[in-house]
Amino acid sequence: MTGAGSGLGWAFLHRVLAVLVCVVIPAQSWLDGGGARAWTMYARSASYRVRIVTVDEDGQTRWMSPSELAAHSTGDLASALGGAETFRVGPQGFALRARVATLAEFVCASSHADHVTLSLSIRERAGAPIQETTTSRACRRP
Amino acid sequence: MQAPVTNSVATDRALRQSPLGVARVAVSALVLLRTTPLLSPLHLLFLGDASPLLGWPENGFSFAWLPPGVVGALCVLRTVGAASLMLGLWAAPAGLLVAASGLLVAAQSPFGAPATLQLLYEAAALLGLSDASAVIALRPTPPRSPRSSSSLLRVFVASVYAWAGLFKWRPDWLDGRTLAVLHDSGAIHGALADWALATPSSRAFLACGVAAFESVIGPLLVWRRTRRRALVAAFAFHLTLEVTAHPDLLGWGMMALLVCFLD
Repeated sequence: MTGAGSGLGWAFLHRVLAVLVCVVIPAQSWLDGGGARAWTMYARSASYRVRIVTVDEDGQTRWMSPSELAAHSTGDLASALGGAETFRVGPQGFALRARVATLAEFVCASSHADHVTLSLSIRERAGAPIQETTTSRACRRP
Repeated sequence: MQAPVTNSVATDRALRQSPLGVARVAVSALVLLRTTPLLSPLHLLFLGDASPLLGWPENGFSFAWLPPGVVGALCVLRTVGAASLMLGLWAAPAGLLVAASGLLVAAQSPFGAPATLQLLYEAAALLGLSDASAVIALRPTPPRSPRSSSSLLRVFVASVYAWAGLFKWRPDWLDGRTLAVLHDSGAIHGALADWALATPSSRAFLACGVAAFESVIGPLLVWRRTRRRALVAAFAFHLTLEVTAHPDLLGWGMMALLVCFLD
């Protein structure tokens, strides 16, 4: 009886796991708009572009290339920023948009500017209108 | 009172879990290959970040919300978990360790876990909690629920195809626009891709074909009558993607899991 009971317990656990992993997690990801955990890989034609404007302590304005910012970063962030001066195909723009404030902080740290303005442009799919997200911040100095 | 299980019955049950055991070894090996520098001599682009361990904290600005020491420890735990799962040592906690530590490390990046890692980590947890450690293991566990173990992994694989197919029933995929964008960007390349995606109508045809394939292959794999042919088709599908798109180790992960459909 103990063996049969244990077997039934494991079977129940497997059913719960199946519902969780096969339905709940992907459905929740789909409903929150991202779809990152809903196996949407390689099926998106989304593209993004990053533009950065810095103002230094003398009031000089200059463009900072995302590739220059990529050189200060590592891993998949460097990979996502490299070449993002023009529209790049990939869903990374959505994740960057969600963290645009932190990204602006990173620009501050990397550029030693007094003020930065960061614009993220996203096309959700090929031919869709461009969605712009812009953030500006003064860079705190110690 | 339940009849005692004879050795031959137990052996038979265990042997029926062989495909799960093979999948367990293959999936955990893929986790190690993807998250450690083992494949660095091959200089594969998508493995450039797997040194010293994937997600290892680096100096400088970071999006991470855990301290670097904790992230480093999680990377080590993930590696230990994957090795333990592959060897069949305490497979259940090992599988959970791989999934939990792997996903936590991935969460330190703004981009989270890419599809390949999500597949491998979730599969590791499911295999650890199934009868996949009843065979091909240094510390085999007695079969606990063979039928639901096989069903769990098969339903998981079928669900991956189903969700992937569902997402493709969109105008910008079905008319071939997305394939054109991916081809132009170089994500899909090679002579086969150049030929198959040469015209708008061929792109649309292929796009509809892929959407239809991913939508039906899951049920065809699950249904015993069509399983054998569906397995051949699924392996061919992933091998073709390997040649044309090199989708990280995703295709190899799916092929490792397709073994669960072998009887």
